[in-house]
Amino acid sequence: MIEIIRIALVTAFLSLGVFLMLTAAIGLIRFPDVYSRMHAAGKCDTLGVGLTLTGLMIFQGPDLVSVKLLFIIFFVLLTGPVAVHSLFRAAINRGHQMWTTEGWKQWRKEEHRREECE
Amino acid sequence: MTTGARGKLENVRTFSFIFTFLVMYLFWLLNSGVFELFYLSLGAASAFFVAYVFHSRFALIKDAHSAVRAFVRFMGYLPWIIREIALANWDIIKRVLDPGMPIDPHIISFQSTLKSDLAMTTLANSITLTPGTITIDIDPDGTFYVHSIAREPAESLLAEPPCEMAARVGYIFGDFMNPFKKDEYHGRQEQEVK
Repeated sequence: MIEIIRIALVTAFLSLGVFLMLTAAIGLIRFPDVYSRMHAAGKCDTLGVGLTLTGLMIFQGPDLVSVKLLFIIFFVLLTGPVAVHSLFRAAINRGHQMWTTEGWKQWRKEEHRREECE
Repeated sequence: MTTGARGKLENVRTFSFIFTFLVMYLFWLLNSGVFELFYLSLGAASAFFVAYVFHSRFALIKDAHSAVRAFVRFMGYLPWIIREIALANWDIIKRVLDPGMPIDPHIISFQSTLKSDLAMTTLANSITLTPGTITIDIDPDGTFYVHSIAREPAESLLAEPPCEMAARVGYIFGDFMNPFKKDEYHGRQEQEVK
């Protein structure tokens, strides 16, 4: 009985983690510019890795391998935000344009006008 | 420097050295998993070397009392931030999978009222880890610049300063890091101003 609960818990954690990674990938493709893409890729990935490894830890049971997995989670949580931050700074320093709703609406309006002219 | 202050500095150095040594040795033991005398002594030797060279860089809080206090309070902070991350992640998932993609990127700034480097770093990492918001820049006076994917994720940060997250982080580190570091930090800042 306990075995079944354990396996169910592992499955839940793994599928949730994989779902988050999939969401991150979809967001990476769908979002319009560098900055908002980083929102999808940087953070959903961190939590996805964390959940997946937690599932593996439950599967492994309490021993040294689990401790190593815990180390990996800890370091991913620590380095993930720093990596996203430095990538963000690099994009800003290179002068990438930021996508805004107002700009998008204006672009759509101008395109509409252009089509009418033709 | 008076003898009392020097004695205190000695205590601080001893604490940071012992702390670094213990953490490094524990890391060695958990990673090796071999408990024979040869490997144990090898681990002790390398942990001693690392602690001797790097203890001033590794132990971020150099006063034993405030280090223990910060650790206990950080453990209390963890469940809250994990809950916050989970909630915000759910929000981001909805935005990604929504066909209309309701995003509206903004850059906001707010005053955190934090003073120490460590507290500001923790807050910046917490903000970046919470989906929907990324820290772009921090001014030395504690002003944060944050990029948010839409208006709602940043609303809690724009509340009356200090906002809830900043208040919690400030509570962990007692707002200031420790007497030594604080004086050094403010001294450096004043010099730059002059």
